[in-house]
Amino acid sequence: MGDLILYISLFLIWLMLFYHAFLMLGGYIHSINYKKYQQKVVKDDQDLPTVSILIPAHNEEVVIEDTLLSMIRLHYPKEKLEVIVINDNSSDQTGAIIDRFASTCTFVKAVHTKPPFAGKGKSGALNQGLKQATGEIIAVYDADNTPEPDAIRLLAKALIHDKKAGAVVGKFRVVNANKNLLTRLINIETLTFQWLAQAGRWFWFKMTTIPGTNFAIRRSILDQLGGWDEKALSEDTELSFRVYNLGYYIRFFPAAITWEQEPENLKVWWRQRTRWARGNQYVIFKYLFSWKQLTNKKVFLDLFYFFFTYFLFFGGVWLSHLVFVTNLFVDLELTIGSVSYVLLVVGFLLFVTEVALAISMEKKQFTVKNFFIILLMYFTYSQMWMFLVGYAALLEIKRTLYKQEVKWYKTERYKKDTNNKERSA
Amino acid sequence: MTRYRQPKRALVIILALVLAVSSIFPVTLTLAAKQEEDTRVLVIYSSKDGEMDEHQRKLDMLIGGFTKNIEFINSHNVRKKDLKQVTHVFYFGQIEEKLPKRFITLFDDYTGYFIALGYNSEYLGDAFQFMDPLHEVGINEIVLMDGSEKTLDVGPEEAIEIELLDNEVDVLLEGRMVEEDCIHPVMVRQKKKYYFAFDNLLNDKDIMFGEGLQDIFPAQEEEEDVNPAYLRLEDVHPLVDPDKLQATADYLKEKKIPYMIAVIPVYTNPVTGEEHHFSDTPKLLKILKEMQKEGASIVLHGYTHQYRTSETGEGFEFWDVDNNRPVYTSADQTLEMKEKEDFSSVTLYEEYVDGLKRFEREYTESKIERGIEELVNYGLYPLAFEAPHYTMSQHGYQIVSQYFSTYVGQLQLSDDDWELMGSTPYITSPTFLHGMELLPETMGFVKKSDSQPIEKMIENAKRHQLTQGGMVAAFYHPYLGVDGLKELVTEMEKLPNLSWIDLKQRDITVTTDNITIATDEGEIVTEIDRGKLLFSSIDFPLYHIKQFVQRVVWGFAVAGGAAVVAFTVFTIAVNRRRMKVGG
Repeated sequence: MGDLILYISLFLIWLMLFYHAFLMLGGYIHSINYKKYQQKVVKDDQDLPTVSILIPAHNEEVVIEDTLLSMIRLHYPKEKLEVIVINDNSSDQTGAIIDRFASTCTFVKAVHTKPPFAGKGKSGALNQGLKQATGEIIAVYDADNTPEPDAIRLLAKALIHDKKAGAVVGKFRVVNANKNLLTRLINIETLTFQWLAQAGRWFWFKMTTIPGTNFAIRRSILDQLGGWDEKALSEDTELSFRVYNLGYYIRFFPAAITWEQEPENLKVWWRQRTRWARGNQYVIFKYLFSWKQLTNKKVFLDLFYFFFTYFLFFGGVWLSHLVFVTNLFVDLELTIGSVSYVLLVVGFLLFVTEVALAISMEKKQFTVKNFFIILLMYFTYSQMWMFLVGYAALLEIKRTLYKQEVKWYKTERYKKDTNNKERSA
Repeated sequence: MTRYRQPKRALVIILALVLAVSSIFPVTLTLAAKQEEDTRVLVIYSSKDGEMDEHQRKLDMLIGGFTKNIEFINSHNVRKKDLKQVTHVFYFGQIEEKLPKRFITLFDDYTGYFIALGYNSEYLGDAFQFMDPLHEVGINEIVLMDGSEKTLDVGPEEAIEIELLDNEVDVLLEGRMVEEDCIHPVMVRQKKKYYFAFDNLLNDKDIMFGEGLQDIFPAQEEEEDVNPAYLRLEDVHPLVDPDKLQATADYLKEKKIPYMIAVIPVYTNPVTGEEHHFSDTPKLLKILKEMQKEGASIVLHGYTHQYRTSETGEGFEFWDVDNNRPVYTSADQTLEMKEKEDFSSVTLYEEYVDGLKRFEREYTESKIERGIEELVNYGLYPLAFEAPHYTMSQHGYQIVSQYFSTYVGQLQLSDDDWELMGSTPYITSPTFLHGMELLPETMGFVKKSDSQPIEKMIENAKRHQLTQGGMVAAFYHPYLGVDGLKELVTEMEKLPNLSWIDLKQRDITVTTDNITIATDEGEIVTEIDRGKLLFSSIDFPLYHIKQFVQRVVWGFAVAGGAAVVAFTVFTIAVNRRRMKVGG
């Protein structure tokens, strides 16, 4: 029995590890390839399209100013650009700040939502903004983002250059990476997520998940889809799926860069990540039981990946932990032998080399310090995820059993630690 | 051989080629077969209760070394017609009795060899008129009178003193009482008539009588004077220390000695009743498979080597030792045996006995079949059988003969008492093995409690070497460590004319419903109905699934390692490129 459980968990874990290694390989190749694509996109001298940037903001007074300043610095003809900041029922100075910018910069527009259309979350705010938008292309940034000056130009040009792309997703970097150990860990995690999962999936399957910020999408598509689904719990994954359904792909284009802040303490981290995990678990179940709606079968790959990640992989790791601990007290008569130690070591090395490769894609990230943080990460940060996913699953089970209303709390704010990003990792 | 199934076509072709190419082999084979056909042995015996017992079986084992055509008839039942076409008549007077009157003329027309043992020789017509049996005398040495003066010490034994009445009598064996300087002829020959002056063949007297038989049965082939030898690693069960076994294997491989491994497929914990199979100890199994590949032959040594709550290796499996009787009931039950008198009719009693034997048959069959199939499923191919503690009923041997063509060890000679067991000096096929060939164990084993066990063993070997083809065979428990074995082998190698037996070189067949194992010129040829085998027990496919899974898991490790190397190279490449660019 112990053997059976151990082998099942090993198969689950290693299928996942190999899939990740496979994605990492794709990510590595893409890290070389995209630069050529970037050159092509830059050389393309088609007329620039009109772009509307949507920035939903709910009580963002501490960050919104920086965000708007970065918008002003964007290298994009201002006559073709509009920045629509949706002040979603803020009770702080957010509205006032936005209005100040709107009065001085012609391309900045303020939209103030009022009940009953206010406070309905990010999707609602985006739809409110979309109503006002005139651009051929819609770009979205979170209120805490400071994109690099070329970001929008690259996203827009990539989109008009590639007719098959329904949306183009840029890269995000952590602005407070060196703040403390947690932000260093998150920095490494985000880089790995983007180079492994995003770039890797793009390279092999032409699939990327819209991360909620720093992406551009065709207006025509949003019109066709009726905007964002306000009932959706994790609107980015939802939107991604629907874009695939129309037959488009979503391009990952790491040349377009934005910078964002990440949680600086564990409490905020825990809350935010629990929400992502629950959101994704919800989406998995929703689509697992209504998979017929998915016309683009590629989406199954992602759906299966999510399912695998959140249930099978973490389940497998939990099982193997369980077998390990039980075996300390009771002899389970495991016959696996020395290969289990080899797998333990190889698994660890695989993690380290993958992450090392991922952070090597960025300048000045593969440092001695970061290398040691990677070693540490395996035993700390990764294990925290173990508990987090388990906790999220418990909450979801509880919610389903008691038929609780879904209530999504906005991430708590700590000075500049504002964060409202939704992405799947 | 009769149970050998039709081999696959490829096998047939190979066999045909082999037979066609080697021209000598078929000739000697047919010659030997023809001679054996010509020999017909009739043994007339006088025993305590008129039935065959350990004494007759001892004789059976000795004659079985020369022919398989042996018939035993009690002295009260023998008729003239029984002598038809008989080439050798033995009369074994194990007890003193007056033989029926018909004996006076029984042998009148008989012209073949006539060998008498023990008492009552005076009643065998006038065949043994050349001598006169007197009273018993004590002797403690038996000497071969072929000029070699080979001598065997025996405990004081009683021989029948004979007075020789004819000058043309040859003395083949002489008995001596050393201290008293007395000499008595104990085996004599007059033309085709032989007399052996003991009423039993126990206490190594069989060695000398066996040597005497060489004179009676002319050698079928001119053979060199060799002593076949074997070493058997005993009681190798799933919980044996793999390191010690490995050391043993390494040593024997280095010595280039073919050997046998007596394998017990299941270890049963006597306290918990928990079973351990070789699939639970893959390391050990791997060693065993390697040993088989490197020249060892597997011998099935029972299935669990225990019955009831005894421990594997310690317990008896095919003998109910608590009641000193065959296994007539399942382990969790007790059975009060009934006597003939408890039944109102003979038919009812016979039905009762049949029921007991039916149980013994089913019990034995299931264990042997399962044992063979379990080992074959692992890729271990048993070539012979050895009953735990050498104990098994006569019925048991008959059952074993359905599966095996070769038996290794010693034999239990009586169904009344397991302790009546014995060996025989040379390779033989006695009738009570129903066609099986016995490779007798003659030396014993290295006993920890003995002060000089190896000396004793070598002494035994030397005694058996007194006879032509005398077997030099010992067994050793690998848990004692390799040093004891080294000592034993070193001493054995000092013995002259040793020729190590490789079971694979012998003509062997092992059969169950789903499996046929045969030997062909030193190779094991198997024919296995895999489908049926795998369906016969869930454990069999499970083992293979586990094997496969293990391999896959190792594959994970290798593939994972390759990925680690690749990512390391990529990481170095990326960083080096960046340094060159100056970023």
